[in-house]
Amino acid sequence: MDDSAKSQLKSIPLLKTKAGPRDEALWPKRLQEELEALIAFVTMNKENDKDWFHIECSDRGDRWYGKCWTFYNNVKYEFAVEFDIPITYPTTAPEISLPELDGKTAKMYRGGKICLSEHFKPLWARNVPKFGIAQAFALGLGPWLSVEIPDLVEKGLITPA
Amino acid sequence: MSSAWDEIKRLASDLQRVQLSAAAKKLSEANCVEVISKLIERQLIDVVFTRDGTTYITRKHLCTEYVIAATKTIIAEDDEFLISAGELFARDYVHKLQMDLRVLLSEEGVRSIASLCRDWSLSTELLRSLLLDRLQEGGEFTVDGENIYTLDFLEAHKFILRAVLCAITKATLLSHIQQRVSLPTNRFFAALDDLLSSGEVPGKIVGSRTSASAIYIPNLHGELVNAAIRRMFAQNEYILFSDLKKMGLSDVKAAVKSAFAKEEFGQLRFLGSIVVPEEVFDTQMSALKDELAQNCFVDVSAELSKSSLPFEAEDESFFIEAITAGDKDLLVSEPRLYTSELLAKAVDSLSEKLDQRAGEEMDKMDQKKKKTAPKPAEKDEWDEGGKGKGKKGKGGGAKGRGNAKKDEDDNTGSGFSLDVDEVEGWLRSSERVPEELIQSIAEQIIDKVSQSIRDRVARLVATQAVSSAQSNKRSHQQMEQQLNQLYANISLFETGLEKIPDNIRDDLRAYLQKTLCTELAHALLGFASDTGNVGQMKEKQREETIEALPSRIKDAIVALYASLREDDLQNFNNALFDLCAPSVLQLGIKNPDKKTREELTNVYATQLLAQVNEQSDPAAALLSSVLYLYAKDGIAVHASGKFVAQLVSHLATLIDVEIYDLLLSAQKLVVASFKNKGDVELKEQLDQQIQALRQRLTQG
Repeated sequence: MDDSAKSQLKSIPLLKTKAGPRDEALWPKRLQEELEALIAFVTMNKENDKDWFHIECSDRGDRWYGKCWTFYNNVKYEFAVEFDIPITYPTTAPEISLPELDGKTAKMYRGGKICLSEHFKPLWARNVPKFGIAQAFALGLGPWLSVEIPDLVEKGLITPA
Repeated sequence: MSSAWDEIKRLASDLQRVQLSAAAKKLSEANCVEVISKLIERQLIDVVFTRDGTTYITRKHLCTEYVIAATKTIIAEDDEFLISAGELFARDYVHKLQMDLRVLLSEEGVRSIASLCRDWSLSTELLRSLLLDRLQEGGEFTVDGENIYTLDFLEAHKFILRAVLCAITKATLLSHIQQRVSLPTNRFFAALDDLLSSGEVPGKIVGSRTSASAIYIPNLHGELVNAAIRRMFAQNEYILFSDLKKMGLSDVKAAVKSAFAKEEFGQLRFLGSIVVPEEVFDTQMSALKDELAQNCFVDVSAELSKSSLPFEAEDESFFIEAITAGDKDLLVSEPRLYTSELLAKAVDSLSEKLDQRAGEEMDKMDQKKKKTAPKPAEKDEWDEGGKGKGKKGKGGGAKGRGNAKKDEDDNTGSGFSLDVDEVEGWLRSSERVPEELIQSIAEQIIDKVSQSIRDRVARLVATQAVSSAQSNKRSHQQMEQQLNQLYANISLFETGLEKIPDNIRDDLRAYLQKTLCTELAHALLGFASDTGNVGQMKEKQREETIEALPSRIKDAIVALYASLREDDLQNFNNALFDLCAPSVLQLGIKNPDKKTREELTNVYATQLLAQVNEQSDPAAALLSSVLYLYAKDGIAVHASGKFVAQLVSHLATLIDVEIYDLLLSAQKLVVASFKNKGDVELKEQLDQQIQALRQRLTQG
């Protein structure tokens, strides 16, 4: 894990409630914690001028969607991002997907789900239920974008927004 | 829980807010300068700097700002111009527009704003602000929605409306009036309100203004209608609802009420389709009642059609209601009424048919009973556990009867009921009831008639049961009599057998078993199974009959028949007494005592002597003679002709030699005559011999 990811991670509050979207009693509490963590994460990003995503969720908080972007050679590349909260969350990490990049890179499962590094899954598993959406973005999507997008740009597979 | 979701909603909106907020970091001044420089270098922007180089604006903005400032100055300095909606106008232009508008409106009276905008290529807001807002100050024009009107125009149309309203003589939809006057809705109602307030509307509006069915009813109309109603009534002495409806009156009663004075209105009767004076209604009512009283029914529809007034079907129910209110016993089958007297007549007319039907039902039941006859006996056995036979006593008699009676009762019970069509058919054929009422009357009387049939059948059954009980009793007595007679004879002959020598005793005993004992067994079987001609049945049939009997009786009868084949009569006697026991057939059987036997033997002897004298057949006369001679000696013998020879030989020791010789010779002749049937001489001799024998026996 590189330093930037580490420092990001430190600033995101950890979550306490272990509940999936089907847990009628505890899911609202978990969702609150997720939102608080995301607010803290985005606030920090804004302060550091490193705001790189914008997401919102459905009423029940089980579907998330929005946009993420990255800069390469001073050019902004923006993509739609979406994911569902799995039933076995938070034991299972959410599968973040960028549908627009489906089929363009090997580091992606069918349907546009990003393929995360080998470190991610064990790290997530060790930290259940403390990690949430904010951490998934910080440790998963963020590094993936910073590695993959330059590669795709170089190959001419994507164009700026 | 809902507070948790509210909290979530709040956090979600906070997240959005945070995400949408501007980033904290801004570019530093140096960076900005550098960026602008780079942009200028690349000729991507075109800016104008101030002299001191610190501020710059785009050219466009410069022009605009200047223009705006210049415009403001112009307006401030010169009255000839004005600004409206961000555009600069010369007042002359505005005046010209106003003049044009005035001319247009004075010519046409009304103009839509959209058409003005189109013609003058102005936007609506501009038109409004330039002209319209100033226009209304003059007081000559009104802007209403999308149109501009001159007040003269509106005034003129109001007068048109007033004229229209005055001219209308019947109820008219407001929408039609509005079309005629050619005013849009709000102007129309404004004009109408004006007229209403000044009292210039000779009528009234009925219904809500927003509804499509709002009507204007002129006052004149009411007066015309009342006059018409009164005229109608004066001419015809009735008023038809349909005529009133043609005049557009929906509330008939109210219309008539307003046409007449209170006392006159009170004298009217409202029916379904017509209004008539009360006297006419009463006259008609009495006519109907008379008809009803005369014929026990009245067809209201037919009667009303005879009247001179145009009554319709809807009016009938009023008459029917009035008549039935006075007499609750009347029955209604619209449009007819009938009295319960008619029902009674109808039922009476069917009396014969009911008897016939009851008879048919009885026959059906009898047939049914015959088919199921054996079963009741068994059922009885099971039901009473074989114990109850004693309970029946002499009156109940045969076991079969009691249960069969119960079956009959079931048949005449609630199961039977008539079909309505059948009753209708009977009524039709009886011709006592009018055709139109047949169905209704049939439905009314069906229960009564069914019950009547059930009662008749029950009576018939009771009669039958009584007679069958009587016949049961009779047959039981008969059986007992027969039994005792036969048994007395059997005992007699059994006693007689003791005095017969051994060599013929067994044969005679067997003959007795084969004849009298078997006859008795058959008679008892016939009695037990209630079948006749047991003696003529084949062996198999007899066995089946025995098999069908209840087990106790069956066993006794089987024993009896078995005893017929045995070598002495002891078992026969035992079986016979078992069978007649109270727990089996309940027959009283007596073993005749010695005295009775002697008496019977004497009687037997006398009978035999009489037979000897009467019988024409020589063989028979010979047999009777032989038997008589034994009987005279106190030995009752039951034998057939084939025993004669043996019996005669035994007689040698008992009678006179003379008689003995006569017998012997007669016997020989009989045998010879059997062998030579055609021999007349032989026959003559035989006759003579028999005659001699008779004489001798008669002498003593």
